[in-house]
Amino acid sequence: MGVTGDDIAKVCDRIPGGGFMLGRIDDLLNWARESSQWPVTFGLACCAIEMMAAGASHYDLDRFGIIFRGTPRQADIMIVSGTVTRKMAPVLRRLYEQMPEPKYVIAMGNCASGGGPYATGTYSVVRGVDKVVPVDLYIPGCPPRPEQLIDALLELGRSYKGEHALRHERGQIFDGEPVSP
Amino acid sequence: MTVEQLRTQYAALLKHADERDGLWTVDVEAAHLRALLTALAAHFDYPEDLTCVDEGDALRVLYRLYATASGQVLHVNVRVPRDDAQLPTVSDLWRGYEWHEREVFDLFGVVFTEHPDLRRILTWEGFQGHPLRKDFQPDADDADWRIPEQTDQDIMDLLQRDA
Ligand code: SF4
Repeated sequence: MGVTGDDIAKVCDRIPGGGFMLGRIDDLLNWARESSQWPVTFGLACCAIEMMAAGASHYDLDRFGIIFRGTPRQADIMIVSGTVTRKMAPVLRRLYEQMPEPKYVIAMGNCASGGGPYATGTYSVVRGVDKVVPVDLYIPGCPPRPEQLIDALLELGRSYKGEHALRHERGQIFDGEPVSP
Repeated sequence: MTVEQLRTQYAALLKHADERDGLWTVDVEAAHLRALLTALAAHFDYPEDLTCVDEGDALRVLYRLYATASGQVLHVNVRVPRDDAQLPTVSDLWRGYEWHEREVFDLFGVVFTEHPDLRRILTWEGFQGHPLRKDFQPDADDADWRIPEQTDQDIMDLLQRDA
């Protein structure tokens, strides 16, 4: 940036009590986003019970700064946990569109990932929520354990590093080998 | 009331009535259904369930009623032909049956005449067929399914209609 000395006062805010902070806004935003993920819950079937368990006191998502929100307008992640039906799909899409950018979707469980037990011989189930919204992370399992959901959220948080949130540039979500549960 | 009294009192309307393990079961012709249920509604005041069974040659609609005064449970069976499945509504006797009748209509295709609002309730508008009939063929896959486009006006119309 090339700002030195007295010029700093012109481009940076003075922190109350003295001192300045100069850094990359991306780093600050990514640190903030990673440390306070606010998922909107989209519980649609049995997997939602495991999601609730992850949020309740035993697994305690709050200790990671992950707080469930009841509205898409305050959320940056949507956790789709359960069976997506064609009747629900337009509603899900609408809530997704109400989320502010940058936003992410986790497909939790076999149903949300690809139809699960209903992938054949059904009259109403969408075979995977990725037919409705773009999905960033898939969690296998019927249902996945709460630890898997926690792992997915932390993995997603780590992937924020290097993203340019203000320029809507996405980072690499997952670059490792898939781990079987 | 005992099942004997039920049988003698409504002999003209009933095809068959019996009791097993405390459960009363009666069979009735579609033509007599409304007359019978109108007579029973005062005693069996709680509509526990309304469902349907596809028996192959006919559809059996099953009304499960409960009497809050005596604790008695009554099953009323009525058979309707598959290709002309029609019954009079009883949602005016028990308001709670309004949605149950919509469900049986949606999933089995039984038309309840005089129902105030006989729309599909579980599947969506535009759905073809009645999925719990045994001869219903589900799609092999949903490769050509697309999420329906909804404008803001569509949503407002839906909200207004369901309000
Ligand atoms: S994946 Fe299994 S546990 Fe999860 S919603 Fe589907 S059926 Fe239920």
